[in-house]
Amino acid sequence: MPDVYIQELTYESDLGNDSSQSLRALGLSPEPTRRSWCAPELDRRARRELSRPAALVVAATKRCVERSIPLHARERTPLFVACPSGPEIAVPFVEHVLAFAGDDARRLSRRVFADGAGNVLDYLRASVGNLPGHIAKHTGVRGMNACFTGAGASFMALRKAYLLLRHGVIENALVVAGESLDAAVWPADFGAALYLSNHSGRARVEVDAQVRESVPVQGAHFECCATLVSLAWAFEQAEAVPRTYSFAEIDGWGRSVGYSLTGTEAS
Amino acid sequence: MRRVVITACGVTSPIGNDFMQFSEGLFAGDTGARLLEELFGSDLHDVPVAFGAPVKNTAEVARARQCLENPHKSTTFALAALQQILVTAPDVVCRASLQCGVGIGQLLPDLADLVEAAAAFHDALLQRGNNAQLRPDHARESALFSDAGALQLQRVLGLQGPVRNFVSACAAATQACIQACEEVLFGADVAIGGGHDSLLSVAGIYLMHELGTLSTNSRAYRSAVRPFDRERDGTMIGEGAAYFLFEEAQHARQRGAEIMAEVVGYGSSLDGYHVTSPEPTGRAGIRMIEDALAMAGIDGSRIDYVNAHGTATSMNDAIETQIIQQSLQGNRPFVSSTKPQIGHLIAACGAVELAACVAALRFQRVPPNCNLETPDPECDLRFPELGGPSATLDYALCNSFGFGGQNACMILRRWNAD
Repeated sequence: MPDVYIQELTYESDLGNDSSQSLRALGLSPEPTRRSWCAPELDRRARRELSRPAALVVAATKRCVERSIPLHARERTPLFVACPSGPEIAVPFVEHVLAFAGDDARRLSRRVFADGAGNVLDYLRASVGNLPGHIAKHTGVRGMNACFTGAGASFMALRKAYLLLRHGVIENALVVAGESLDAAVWPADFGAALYLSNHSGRARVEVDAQVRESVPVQGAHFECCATLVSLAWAFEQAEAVPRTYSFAEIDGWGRSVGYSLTGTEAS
Repeated sequence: MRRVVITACGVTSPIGNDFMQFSEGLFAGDTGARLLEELFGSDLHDVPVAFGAPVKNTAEVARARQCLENPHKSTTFALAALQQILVTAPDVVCRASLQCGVGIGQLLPDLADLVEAAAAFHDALLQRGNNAQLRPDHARESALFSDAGALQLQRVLGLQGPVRNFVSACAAATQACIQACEEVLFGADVAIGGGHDSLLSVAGIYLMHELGTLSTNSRAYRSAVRPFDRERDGTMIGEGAAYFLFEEAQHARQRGAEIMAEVVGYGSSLDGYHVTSPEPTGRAGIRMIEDALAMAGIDGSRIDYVNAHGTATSMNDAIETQIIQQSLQGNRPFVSSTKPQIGHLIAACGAVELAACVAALRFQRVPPNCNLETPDPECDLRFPELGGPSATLDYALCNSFGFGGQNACMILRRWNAD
C-alpha cells in the first residue's frame, strides 16, 4: 500500500493566512483574538458572491491549487469537502429574513422566497451546502467529490481521501474545510486546503481510528474544521522538528469522533 | 477485490412505505401527486403551484414519529425506512455505520422548521447581546443542524457505528450510498447508506417555484410531470427516504442473507459552472458515468436500464440526454424517470431512485417513464412501455444531478454469485 503525503497546506484564519505565520498561536490563545476579515487578498469576486465560510475555503483552496496542481490536472482532481452543519446557514438566512421583514422574522417563512428568484439565488450563493460547486467554479477542480457536514466533518473528508489514496484508487486529492461565525456564537474563523498525494510530499500522514491523546488546540471552537486545524498545527511542527504527532478530538457536541492522526517527517 | 452487495432496502415514499409496496406502485405507474390545498389550506394562494407528492401517513410512519424526541418530517421518514432494514438482521445492522444524505445549505430539510429555528436563534442572539456567548448546545437538537436528525436516528436505533452526513443537494443520498460502499470495500462487513428529505412545506414550494423548477399544470396534476416530453414544464416536490444495507458479499452469503443486487461501479464529478443551471455540454456528467463504467469493468453497451435524474425541466432533460447518449456510446438502454410518480425528493432522490433500480434488477421489470405523450426530439432515448414490462436486465445505472453542478451516479448489477 502506498504511503500518503502532504504536498501543500494553505489556510485562512484570523491568526494569519499563510504557513509562514504560525498556527501555534491557536494553541496558546485563551480567547479568539481578532474578528477582522482575515484574508485581505481574498478574491474580490468570491467575497462578493459567497458567504464568509465559503469565501474562506475558496480563498485557501485557490492558493493551494495554484501552487500545487497544474492547470491540465485540475479537471480530474478529487475534492473532499467539510462544511458546517447549520449556524453558518442560519446567520445569512436570518439576515435574509430580516432584510424583508424587519424584526418580525417569524412571519417571513413565505415572504423570503416569494420576493423573487434573484433573492433565492442570492441565498443559494451565500449558503455553504454548495461548497463543492463553489470551489469547482472558482478553482477549476472538478473531479470525484463528496461534501461532509457537521461535527467531525473534516476528519471524515480526510479519512475518505486517505483510504482512497492508500488503496491506490486515486493518486492525489484535495481536502478542504471552512467555518466562520460571529463571536457571539462561537469563535471559529478558518478555511483550509490540504493537497495530498500517494507519491511524495513534505510530510507523511497516517490516519487510524484509535484515540490516543488530545491536541492542544484551545481558545477556538471548531465544529467541522478541527482536524484540519490540528493537522495544520502538526504540519508546521513536523516541518520544524520531524517527529510523530497523534491527535484525538472531541467534537463540539461532546461526542467523540474517535480517531488519531499522525504527521511524521518528510519523505 | 471485495464485492459489495445490497441485502436490505427500506423505503418511505409517496407511492409506498416499504420496498414491496414501492415496487408494486412503481411498476403499476402509480402517482403520489396530491393537491397542496389538502396539505396547506390557502397558504399557497398566490403561487401557481397546486400539487406535490407527500408520503402516505401510514401506521409505520406514525409509529416512527412517536419514537423521536424531535420528529422533523424527514427524520421520521428516515426512521421508518431504517426500521425496515433493522428487522431484517438486527445483530448485523446495529454494528453498521450510518451514511445519510441530508439537505441543508442550498436546499433545506423541513424548511418551515428551519425558518422557525432560525428566528428563535436570532431572538436568542438579541437577548444575549452581540458579544454574549451562546453555546453551540443551545441549538443542538434544532433544525438548524443538518446532522441533528442523524444523531436522533443513531440514538433511537442503537446504532454503534459512526454517523456521516452528506450535503450535495440532489446528489447527497447518492454520495452517502457511495460512502457506504467504500466502507465495505475498505474493510467493514456492513454499512448503511441512503438519504431523507422533505421540501414539501410552504417555504420549500416557494423556493423551488421561484427557481423555475416546478410544474404549474395544476388542472392535470396527476399527469403533470412529464420527463423528456416536448411539453414538459417542471417537476413536483416530493418527500421521503430510502436506506440500504450494503454488505460484503461473502459475509452476506455466510449468514444466508438474500442478495438484492450488487454495486459494481460509481462516479462523481463537478460542473463548476453555475449555482443552478447545468453545464451545457454535460462533459462532467459524461466523465462521471465513464468513471463508473471503468470501475465496473464494462463498457456502455452493457447498461440495460438507466434511472434518469429526469426532473422534467427543460434544461436537465436535454442535457441529461446528451450525457446518456455520449457516455453509453450508441447503446440505447431503457431510460425512465421516477419523478412523475414520487416527485423530486431533493437530497433523498438518489436513494429512492436507487431503490427503483434494485426493483428493476430484482423483478426483471422496467420502471415506466410516466406521462410521456410527445417525446422531445432533443431527448432521443428509448423509453419503456407503461406497466413495467418484463425484460432481461443485468446492469442498471442511476443518475443524480444536483444544484451547483454536483453529479453522482451508481451502477448496479443483478446478483450473480460467480
